[in-house]
Amino acid sequence: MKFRRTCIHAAALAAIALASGCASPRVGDPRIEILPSAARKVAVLSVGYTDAKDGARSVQLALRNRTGFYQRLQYKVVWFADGVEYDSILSKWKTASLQGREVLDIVETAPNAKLDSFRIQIKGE
Amino acid sequence: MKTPAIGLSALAAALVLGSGCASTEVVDLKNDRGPAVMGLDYRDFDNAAQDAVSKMLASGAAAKPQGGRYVLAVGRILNKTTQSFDTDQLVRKITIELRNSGKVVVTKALDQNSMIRGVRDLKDDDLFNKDTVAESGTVIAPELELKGKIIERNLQISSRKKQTEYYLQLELNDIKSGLAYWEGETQIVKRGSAKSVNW
Repeated sequence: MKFRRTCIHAAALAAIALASGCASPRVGDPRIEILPSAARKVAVLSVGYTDAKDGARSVQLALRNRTGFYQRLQYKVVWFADGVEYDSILSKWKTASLQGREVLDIVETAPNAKLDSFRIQIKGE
Repeated sequence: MKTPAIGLSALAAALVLGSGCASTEVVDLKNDRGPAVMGLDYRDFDNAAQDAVSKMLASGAAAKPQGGRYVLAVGRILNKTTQSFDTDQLVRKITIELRNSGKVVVTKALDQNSMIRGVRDLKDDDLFNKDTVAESGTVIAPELELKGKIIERNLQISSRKKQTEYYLQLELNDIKSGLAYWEGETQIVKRGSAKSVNW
């Protein structure tokens, strides 16, 4: 009985973990959102930013193709000023392509120097 | 007796067809899944402007070393393609974004359709209060110039397929020194049926 109960608990936990993973898989960084269509295709290796002399922030993201096949993805960087989303043509979806297992570095610069935070979204094409 | 019923049916059918509800849709510009065309469409202009502004800002060319904003004039953007379109479709997106960056302010003083020069001639017009007419010598001259061209190249791949290449070339020049602070090129390559036309 005890063994059966443990199995049921384990199955329930696994189901919850899978369900939450499918909804919005994350790499532990709330600034990165990998949508379900890309969750199995790429992994985020690192994310960071630098500030230029004029104050404009640039974000750098390293993506790795988790599969052995060529993949096309779309990504966008949404910028915020004091928590409010900033509307810019620089925040439209861009296409990136990766060969199997390739690592791709993406660098995006903020549309202006007042934007201090960002969110990166990645989806499959 | 059957004639009125047939007439009404025909009228209803004509109204449905005439309203055009079967073929017209408003495109969702944020998620347009419509097929690509051989010519340049709004998505190409969006992508080209995004690419140009992104590279320009990342290069630091639009940032004044001593702080403040550059005064930018938009020069000629030549459309050397077989298509007829207003190059403002591309340039306006770029100038809006550059202005919003806080690094550049755009002067309209050199625009042919601008009233900035013409209004100053009103000093001699008795109709206007001379104190309200803008003085001469107050307009700020540009420091930077944005100019460029859009080139098209058509290649025949086979009897059924062709390739059209577009090159959107832009440059940001310092007017005082004549030096090009930034140059960028965005390529758009389309491949499709040889029967399709670009314009």
